[in-house]
Amino acid sequence: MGLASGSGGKKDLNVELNLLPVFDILSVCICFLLMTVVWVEVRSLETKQAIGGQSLDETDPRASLWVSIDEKNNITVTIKKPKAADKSNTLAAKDGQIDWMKAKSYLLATTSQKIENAHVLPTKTTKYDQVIRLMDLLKQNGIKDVGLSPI
Amino acid sequence: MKQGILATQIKNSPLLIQKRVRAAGVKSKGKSLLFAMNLTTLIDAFCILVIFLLSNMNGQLQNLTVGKNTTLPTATLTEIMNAGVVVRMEGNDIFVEDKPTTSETIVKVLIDSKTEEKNSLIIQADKDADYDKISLILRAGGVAGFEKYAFAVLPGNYAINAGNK
Repeated sequence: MGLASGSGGKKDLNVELNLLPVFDILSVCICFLLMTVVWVEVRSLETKQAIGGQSLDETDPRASLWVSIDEKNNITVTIKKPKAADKSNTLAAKDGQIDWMKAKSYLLATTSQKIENAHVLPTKTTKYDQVIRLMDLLKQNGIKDVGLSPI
Repeated sequence: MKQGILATQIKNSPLLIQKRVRAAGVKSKGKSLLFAMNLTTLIDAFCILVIFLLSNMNGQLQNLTVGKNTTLPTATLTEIMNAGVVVRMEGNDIFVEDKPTTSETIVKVLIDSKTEEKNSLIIQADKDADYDKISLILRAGGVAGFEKYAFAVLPGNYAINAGNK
């Protein structure tokens, strides 16, 4: 720290701060943080177990959407309402994969009926990527609770 | 006011006194090669950078190590990864909190790993994995008492008509 002395014996009130140590510390901090930063952030898609986690009394009586995927990637969407008959529709697969275009438009039409929860029922051979994408699609269509059923 | 405070300060500045080429006090016609840099703005910028990086670091509550042969699925509506017990699948191998385990012992390991803070199960698997393997973890999590499940995904978007892939 350099003290600038004025003329005469009087002590000067101005002090020149040596900022170099601060500068060093900040440089080290930045280097450390840049090295430890996670550039590709992994995020999560949250869900809860659809079946088996609760008793019959605890089962929600609200309308729900049951989306099952068969081994050929055909989707069967069933709308279950408490005091009404189940309404079911099958969306055929396209080139051995889920027809996402059809699924998106169908789910968009279905979820306008104020359905807030859905259950996804895949099969053994369903790819994990397809399950995640279907869950994501359901969430995109405004379904808050998306459950996943174990086999 | 012949000797103002600022004038004295400039005259006796350590940088000016210590310079070897044309030190202060020596009268010269030429322009000085040394100049005093104002580091205040630079320090300000550094401080902002440090704060930004620190805040960015705090957002990542759960760090995941993704295996070389694992490609995580992509999802659009994602959330921040909260702390939980991480179950990683690499091929047919299952790791709970980086410790290798088997389908027979996974329930016990999950029960041991579950704490009050870590009450959700984070599942990390390759996007091409069959659902029966994921189902195994889901069932084990259910038996171990986990209610919340979080699938590790990469944030991103996919074209809805891009060859169904």
